Amino acid sequence: MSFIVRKLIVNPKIPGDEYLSVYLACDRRGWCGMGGGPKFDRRDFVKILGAFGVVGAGGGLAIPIVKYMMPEIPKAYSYPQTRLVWGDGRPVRASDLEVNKIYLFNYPLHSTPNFLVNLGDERGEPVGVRVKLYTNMSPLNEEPIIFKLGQTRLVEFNVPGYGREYVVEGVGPNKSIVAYSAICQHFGCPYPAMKFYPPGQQVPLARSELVVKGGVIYCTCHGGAYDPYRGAAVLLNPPQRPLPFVKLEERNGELWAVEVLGATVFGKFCNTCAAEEGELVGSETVVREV
Amino acid sequence: MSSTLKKLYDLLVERLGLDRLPLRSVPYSYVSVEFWLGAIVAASFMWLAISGLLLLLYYDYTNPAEANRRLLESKPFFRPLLTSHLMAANLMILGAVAHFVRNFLVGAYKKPREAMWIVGVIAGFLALQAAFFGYASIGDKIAIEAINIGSGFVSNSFGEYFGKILAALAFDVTESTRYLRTVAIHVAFAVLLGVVFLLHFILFEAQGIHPSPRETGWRDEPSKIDETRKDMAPWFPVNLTYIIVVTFGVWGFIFTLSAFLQGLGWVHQLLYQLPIFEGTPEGEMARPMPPWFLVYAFKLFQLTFLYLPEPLKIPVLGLEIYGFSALPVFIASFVLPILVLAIIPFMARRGSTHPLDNMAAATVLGLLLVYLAQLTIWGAVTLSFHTTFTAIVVFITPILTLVPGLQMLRATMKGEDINKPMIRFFSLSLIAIALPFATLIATRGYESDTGMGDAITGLLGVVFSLIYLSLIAFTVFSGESEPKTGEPRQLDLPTPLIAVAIAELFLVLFSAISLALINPLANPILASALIGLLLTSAYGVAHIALRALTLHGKPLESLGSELVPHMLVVLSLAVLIFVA
Ligand code: FES
Repeated sequence: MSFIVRKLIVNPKIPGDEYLSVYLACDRRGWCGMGGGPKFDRRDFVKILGAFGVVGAGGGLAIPIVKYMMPEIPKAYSYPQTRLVWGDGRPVRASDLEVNKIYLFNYPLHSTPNFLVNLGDERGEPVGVRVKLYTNMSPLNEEPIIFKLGQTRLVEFNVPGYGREYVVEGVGPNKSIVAYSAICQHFGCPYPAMKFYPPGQQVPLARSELVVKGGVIYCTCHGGAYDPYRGAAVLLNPPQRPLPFVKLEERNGELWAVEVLGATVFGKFCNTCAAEEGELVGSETVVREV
Repeated sequence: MSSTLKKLYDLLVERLGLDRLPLRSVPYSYVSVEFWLGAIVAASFMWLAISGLLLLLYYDYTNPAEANRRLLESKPFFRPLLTSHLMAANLMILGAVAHFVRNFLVGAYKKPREAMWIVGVIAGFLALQAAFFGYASIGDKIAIEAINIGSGFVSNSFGEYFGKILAALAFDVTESTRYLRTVAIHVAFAVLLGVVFLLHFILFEAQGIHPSPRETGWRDEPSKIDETRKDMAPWFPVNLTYIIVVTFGVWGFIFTLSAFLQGLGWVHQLLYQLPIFEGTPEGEMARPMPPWFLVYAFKLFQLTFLYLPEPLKIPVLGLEIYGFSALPVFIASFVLPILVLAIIPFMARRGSTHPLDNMAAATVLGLLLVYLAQLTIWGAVTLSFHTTFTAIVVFITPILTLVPGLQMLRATMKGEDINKPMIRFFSLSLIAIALPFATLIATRGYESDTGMGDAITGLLGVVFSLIYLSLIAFTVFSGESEPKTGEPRQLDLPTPLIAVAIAELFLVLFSAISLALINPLANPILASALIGLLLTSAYGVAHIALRALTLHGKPLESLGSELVPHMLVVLSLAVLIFVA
């Protein structure tokens, strides 16, 4: 023990070496630091105890400081039941939505935009979605599934992963209408940096051959890609969480947003955490064409 | 009259104990900017503290962008102050890099100054953190991006659970109080930096100045200056005056450069001096990019192959914690550089302070510097992600040039046969030049601008390595030149210098009066330039006063070289004319 301490504090090879030892107090015997005495004695031991005490107290303050600094997490409201409406107030119906066109709406907060898409194949025929996936997953590194479908009109699929399990299911006559968060799960790039490219529409500067033909949600910030036909499962890293899924319901032919499933919307502590109720969209939210 | 003045002066010195201050003094020949790069950093830091406190008076955390926009238009001298704060930060970091490199080249990092070096590295890290929270507090478009990227970065690096907590600690969860937190953390880091600076100074006082290799002939003993030698300049007044000279020079330069860049307008985002607001022409042009000193990390974020391909799952106390995909990027950008810098003193060999006698340290530091420079340029001109193959070449070319280059220089220094090392250096460098383009063709990268950017960055690796090698070569030669001795001593200042001093004093008056007369809101750039001129001309006069103090220890050189320090005043004047 004393050997290690001595080694650490003074360099015994050099007589009179004051390196670092000048910063330690000398005791009455004129022994400076730990290096001077013939052996490691009680006094040296107590000095070390003292040092540990001071360092320990400093470290012990860390937790209280962090606890003090931790902001109060705002209240998590329950999900608003929100009717989707057009800019002129007309309710949005499944039949209003063109296949493969991007629409945007905010839900559950005014600050969280989402895509609304009526998914279809290259010929514009709607394709339904019923996919089971998890909040966390390894990127699939595959082509978007739309190019492997053949005659199937409904994608039924299980994406492996871990974390919480949830089901992405489209609405409308073909189960082809879905809504995903328009904020990338990697570093939070929103639309238009991240957007949906319908099958057949070339992705400019795509980072991988797998996604150039479209049929993906592609993020230009770092080249992350999601497969909207598989519940926005991750195709290419760096993201490792699927885009959160906004659960829609058809009520009397009108579309309603009722909940957000899957991972938490990027940058939010929880999806409906808000300082005041006004931050939530309320009973209606406007759908915009882009 | 003069005898009364003298008496007063002596009384002051005696009562204040100025001649007995327990502070290290340095030899006269060390009173030059080469030995005072650290003082440039300290002066910039001092201005950051002063201007930062002044800015804090009007800081409005509820909507900093809006407040800044309003203050820029309505508060006299707000714009010069804000821009000087940003420029001081830039200059401090540039100065710190110069300080690091210089102290490495002369071997000042070696025993017994290891602790000082490490404390310096920590200071550098804290400065980057403080800078990050500073620009995140502006509230403009860049700040919003910074907060987004910052919170994404921590939540992807430290697992979802801890990441969320860290992001909440740093950026709050409610937007209305977010900027109060960022600015508080900014100040906290600045204060911490101040404390670490203090420790750095205390260590300096413990060890004294590192002897110049010109005097030691690159031997590492003695590692300290003999305090009894005859040419020691007393701390008071010589050292103190030089501190004042450097401080005014640095502050003046801050305002001058900031006026010049403001006058240029939008050249490149990284050179733009004002906040970038949403909905302005600049806001349209701006890309999500941090200030230049963080661009290297920003570029590392874009190297997709650095991310973990599979997320990690770590069971902690029954919970499964997952994520961590960006952990390697975090390590590459903030842990590795710090660690590498911190272990440099322990890679050093005994005996010599010469960089070519400490090859391991010279190689590692050189590669680190070249990589940082490459990543910075790469990030500044390209905004794209990279596939493994082409991007890795970027990191190979510097190795091919730098390592054989150092060996060649070492052989030259030792007087060994240099044919072989030279051939090796040239052939490997040629490979390094060709490699990026060969990769470009092989991967058909020329079909995208990304591939072209990669190839050029690879080439830049060679260029930066050559710059580093020439820096080392320059150090070798300058170390060999003997100090000039035996010149005739002239103990009075020549008339031209006196004339310059009078002219500079006039400029001080001129700029002070102009500053009082101009309308700072209508001419904000002119105001910056005038403050620059005011400070640099004060620096000029003070410099001549300093010469009067140091004359008997540091004989006059030719008039030309005596006037070199005054080029700064000329520069300020030129910038003033440019912006006016
Ligand atoms: S933010 Fe979308 S991939 Fe990085």
